[in-house]
Amino acid sequence: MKYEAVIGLEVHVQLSTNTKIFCPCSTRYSGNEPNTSVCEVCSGQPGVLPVLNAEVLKRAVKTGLALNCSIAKRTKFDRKNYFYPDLPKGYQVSQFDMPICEKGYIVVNDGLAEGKKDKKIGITRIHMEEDAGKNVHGADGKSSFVDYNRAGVPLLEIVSEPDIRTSSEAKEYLEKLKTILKYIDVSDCNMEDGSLRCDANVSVRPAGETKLGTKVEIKNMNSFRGVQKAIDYEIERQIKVCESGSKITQETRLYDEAKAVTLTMRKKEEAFDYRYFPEPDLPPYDIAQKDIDAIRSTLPELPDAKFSRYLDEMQLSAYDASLLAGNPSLAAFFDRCAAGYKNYKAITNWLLGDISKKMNELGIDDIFDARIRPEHLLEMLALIDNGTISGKIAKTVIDEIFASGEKPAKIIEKLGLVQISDDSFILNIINEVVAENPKSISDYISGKEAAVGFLVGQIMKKTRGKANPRIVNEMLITELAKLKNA
Amino acid sequence: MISKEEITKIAGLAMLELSETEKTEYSSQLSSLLGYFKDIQSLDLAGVEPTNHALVADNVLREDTAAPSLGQKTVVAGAPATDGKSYRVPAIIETEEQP
Ligand SMILES: [Zn+2]
Repeated sequence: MKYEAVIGLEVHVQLSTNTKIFCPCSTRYSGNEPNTSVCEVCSGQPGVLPVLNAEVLKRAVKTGLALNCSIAKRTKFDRKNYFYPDLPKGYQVSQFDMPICEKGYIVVNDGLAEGKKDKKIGITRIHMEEDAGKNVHGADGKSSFVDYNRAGVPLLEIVSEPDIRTSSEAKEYLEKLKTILKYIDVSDCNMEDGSLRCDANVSVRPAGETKLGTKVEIKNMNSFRGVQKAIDYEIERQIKVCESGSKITQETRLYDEAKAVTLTMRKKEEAFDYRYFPEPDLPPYDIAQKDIDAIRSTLPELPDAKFSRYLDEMQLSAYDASLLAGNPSLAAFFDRCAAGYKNYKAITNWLLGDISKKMNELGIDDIFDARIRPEHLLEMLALIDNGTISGKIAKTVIDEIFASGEKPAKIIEKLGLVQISDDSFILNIINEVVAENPKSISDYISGKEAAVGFLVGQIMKKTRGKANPRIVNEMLITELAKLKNA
Repeated sequence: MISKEEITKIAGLAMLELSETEKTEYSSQLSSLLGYFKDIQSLDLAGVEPTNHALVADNVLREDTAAPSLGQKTVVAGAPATDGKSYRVPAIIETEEQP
């Protein structure tokens, strides 16, 4: 029998605010000792009063708008009750029946460049909540150690509709979500650091069936690739269970990255009775339309709009446009260059070619962490256009910009890279090369055109790549014609 | 009427250990409490917004500005067990070894 998978994703993103969601403890504790960013509020001492961080509310609304959601007119917090050592209060402050955002969507285009169609993945809801602390397992296997620095860090939980059908579609959804969140600058979205975490609800059903199968929740995936592999494993496992005639157990499973399998989580069924009730310490919030409009006006151009603009107005290829639009920093760099230079294809080629290659070599993820600036690229492109340097020399210039951060004109002067366009100088070199290679000359005269390429190579070698190749070509052909007709 | 089984379940969720006598006692106490809500439910409340909050002060927010925390020593002073830096708890095991 053929089976179809039904997948929904729950994504938690840490908001990159200065302080925690309900108290003024700093969120910049990375690298600090455990329990140094903890106060009475986030450690849940009796009698304290949490107060919502205004920036959290603002970023939640901003995220909702960027993900095409409707924003609640009124929203409130609720307590989700359960016991776990990383939860200091015995409950997590979350949102239950009045979340800040509902009914949005993300458009994924799995391989759009290859001509595949867009697909809308629905977003059921987005709510605000507090993060838990971190458990570190002791070496003796008898104890665990709890650090509450992370307890109270603001989170958004973004819940998708079960609209996803394959693991690659899930990856596409996550990548698009991450790109959008980076564009609107609400979170660092780093799965390795845990600022973006993803749980997946997976079920299978016979193809054509409309009723949903029993779903299994998978947790503990630490990379987009991990999500993809965990989903693939789980789909295969569930199909095997179905084909053997057994029933799928509704449960939570943890992904084991090293073994690439999902394992049953050790937790009693009743532990999931969260008994939500309204958080009495936090008042409800009314969101005014004028505040929503003000936040909407701060939204930057989002990746889908950028992609269309690159494709339609700038005539970039779908492949190039998606690479640029999918990388907020690269897109910002490109936009700044494009404001001052009209050959968009040339900018794209340098950015996605030699500059990206150099960034890979140096292990730089964000182009703004490199020393190159849009002004550098613009100056370099102008120097190529006016014949001062060749495209080949420009590669050396790029290396030097990355190394020193100096301006192209200065680098060219410092390294003596100016392209030689002086006819008499080039003619001397041509004569030398002609004299040194009688075999190639006789080959050429007897009709072997390929000899020209070899001779040009020899000339460029003698000038260490600095001769203007167009001029070299023209002058060499003229000289060879003279020899042939002599 | 809240049964003793329900009391046992609720107590378990709240991590409370109750004696048989207490279970019987709470079962009748909680039943009379819920009976009171039954009285409220008999009222005609059509068109009345549910009250999920007793406070009248809405929209209380604070600026995103950091302030000093308590310090590690003070924080772990409240821990039942500690290594001086973290709370020490019995080992947490999350998975069963069966794929
Ligand atoms: Zn705090």
